[in-house]
Amino acid sequence: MPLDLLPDDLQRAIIDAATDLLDPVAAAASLRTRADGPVRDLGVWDKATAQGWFGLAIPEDAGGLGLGTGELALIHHALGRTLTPGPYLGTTVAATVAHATGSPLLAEVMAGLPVGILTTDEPSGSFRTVDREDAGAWLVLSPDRAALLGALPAGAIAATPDSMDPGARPALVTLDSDVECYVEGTRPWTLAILLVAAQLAGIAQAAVAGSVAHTSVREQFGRPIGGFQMVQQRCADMATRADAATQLCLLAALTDADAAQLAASALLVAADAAVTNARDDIQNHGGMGFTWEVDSHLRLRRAHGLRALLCDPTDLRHAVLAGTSARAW
Amino acid sequence: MSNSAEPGALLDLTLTAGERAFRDEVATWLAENAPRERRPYDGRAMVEFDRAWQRRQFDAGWAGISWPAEYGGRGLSLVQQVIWYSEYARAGAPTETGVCFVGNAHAGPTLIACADEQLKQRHLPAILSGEEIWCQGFSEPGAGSDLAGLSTRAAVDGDHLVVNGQKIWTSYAHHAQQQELLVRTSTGARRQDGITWVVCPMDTPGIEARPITTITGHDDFCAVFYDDVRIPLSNVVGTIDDGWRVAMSTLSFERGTGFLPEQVELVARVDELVELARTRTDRAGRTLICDAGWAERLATARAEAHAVLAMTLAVVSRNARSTLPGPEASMVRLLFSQLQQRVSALAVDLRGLEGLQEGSPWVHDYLYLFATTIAAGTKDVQRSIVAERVLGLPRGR
Ligand SMILES: Cc1cc2nc3c(=O)[nH]c(=O)nc-3n(C[C@H](O)[C@H](O)[C@H](O)COP(=O)(O)OP(=O)(O)OC[C@H]3O[C@@H](n4cnc5c(N)ncnc54)[C@H](O)[C@@H]3O)c2cc1C
Repeated sequence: MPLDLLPDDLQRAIIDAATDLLDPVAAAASLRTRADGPVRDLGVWDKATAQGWFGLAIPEDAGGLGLGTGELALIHHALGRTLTPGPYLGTTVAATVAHATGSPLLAEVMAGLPVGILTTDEPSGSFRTVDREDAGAWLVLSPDRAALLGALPAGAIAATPDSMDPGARPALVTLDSDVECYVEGTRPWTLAILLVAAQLAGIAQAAVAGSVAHTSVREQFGRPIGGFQMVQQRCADMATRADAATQLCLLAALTDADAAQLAASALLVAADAAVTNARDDIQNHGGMGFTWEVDSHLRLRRAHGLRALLCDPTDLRHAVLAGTSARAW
Repeated sequence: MSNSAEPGALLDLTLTAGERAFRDEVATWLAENAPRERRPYDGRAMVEFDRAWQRRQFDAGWAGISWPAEYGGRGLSLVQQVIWYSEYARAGAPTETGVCFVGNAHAGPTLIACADEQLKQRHLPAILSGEEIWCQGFSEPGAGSDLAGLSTRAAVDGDHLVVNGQKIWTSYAHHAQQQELLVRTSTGARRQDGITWVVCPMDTPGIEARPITTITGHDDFCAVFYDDVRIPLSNVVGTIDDGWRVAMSTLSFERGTGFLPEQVELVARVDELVELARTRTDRAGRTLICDAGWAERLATARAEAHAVLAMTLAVVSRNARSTLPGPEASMVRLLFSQLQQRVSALAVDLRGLEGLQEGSPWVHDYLYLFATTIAAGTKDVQRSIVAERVLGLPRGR
């Protein structure tokens, strides 16, 4: 029965493996310390590599697992849900670019060579990244082309002020010469948009879970606050936003035709869901929600970071409004 | 890079060759047979239009797509059902809640799930052929959101129920032959106990349906009065006093799958508006779509319409694994109903003064769609369902 938006056994196994591997408590603790150096947990990174995450959608004859974009979306949903920091996005998209171009980097990327994302910074002509200290190679990404670069000379990367998202290490990158190895095409960008949307949908869902857990046990006026209608209604709206974002990401992941428009729709819906849910979750926690110790603000910070990562609202609106509506099948 | 899942995966939207052939067959039939004229808003013309369209689908074998074949349905798979609905919406076939809606979308499915053989045989084929129009007698003046507070009484007298009381907001009661009627047969420990779900023929002596004019100016619903109305006990669905369980299944169909075609159609509605904004200009001659304000409303509407489509598919996928639609359908209903209202407001707003033309389809839709967050459970009630039954939050009230 092919037309199905619910995960099957294999896909459930992928979700379960990701849930076992990714530790939201450890991730939140590391984000809270805002320590210098790489943001990724090397132990988690190595295990994810061993499970084949970066070759998940690469055909088996090229050394990958031969699965599809739907499975990638499930993994990135889990990354968002658990606030796992690190260049998972760049590395995943880089593998597909390496495969499409026959790049010799493919094997290294699938073996866990972390790839940072460079987006073009129009005014300066240089590039922006948030993967300052994690990347061993680089993926230049724009809506209609992409390029894979090896390690950059140290002098090319200049740190810029910290982001409110502690999982981001922002920098401005200036290259001596023009990038020459571009491949034309919209697919890498579309995949990146979609996977960012999946992470945002995961954040939106985690905010719902955080609010449900708290409001079910916190008592005021002699009863759990989750029984008060105002709180219930806020949680119901949060759940609806998270479900809308999650299902749309899956639909977009499974749709071949007009994938760019559906991915843009998914990002628009998921970015709103993540930021709004994170805000509501802070409110649901009362004074606790205002503290550094509770995870709610970490989700808010990441949601803003991801929303701004690839494009601004004007570009996103254009992508959604282009043409007529995507036909899902 | 492949953007589609590999064949064999369940989380998958690829159609088999057979399903593609089915899609093409459906699309061809709909292109040739879906009514071209706009559905009349009122009166006999409206009833005749709805019945004729139902009859045409029935004669061609397209009525009751998912109903068992022994009751005149098609017994088709979930996938085929979704394909049918999406082609239906794409063909611009009428998706208004017509006079055949209650029979098709919830009375019929409730009978299939809960009624005895005799009632199924008597009514299901008649619903599909458009012979029987059904209405829903649930709400009362004192029992709307609080449905369990209903007080229309029915006493058992020999082999009949004798009904006295009043229903209200009963859509198309003045056009219907049958009614799914909820009555109080006893007062139990819980208010949900002692309710009975019964098939009430609308021509039974003692029934009076008085039309009420709605916000659109049309007579869509009625107040219905019952004065010693005698209904055979054999018309009871489920058992006496066990009607709440049956009613919950009726509501789960109404909220779960009842609005599938509209949910799928919304994407096309937004497309029309995007097109309109590409051609209409402001006084300075700029196309509306170039304005950031309009672009934001339109882009959000289109993205959310895509989300409704995705959520609908997820609900359908879940339904395939159980017999009754689950409470997750209330999340779709919440987003869908409010989005429908935002889209219909956009359709009026984009047209400026012309948008206010009384009697135009867009003014009609704008006003009519206020019902969407009231009927079938208000948006506030839907939120409580999500909070308590999807999220498991402590019970309120
Ligand atoms: C176009 C249309 C067609 C209809 N067709 C039918 C039909 O065919 N058959 C039928 O039986 N009924 C029908 N209805 C009735 C519909 O089911 C009821 O209107 C609906 O259930 C709300 O009940 P009410 O009108 O009594 O409003 P109320 O229940 O009085 O609600 C008024 C307001 O109070 C809010 N409210 C009430 N209780 C709560 C609560 N516990 N928590 C939070 N907020 C609350 C509601 O959300 C709403 O905003 C139809 C209604 C419309 C608009």
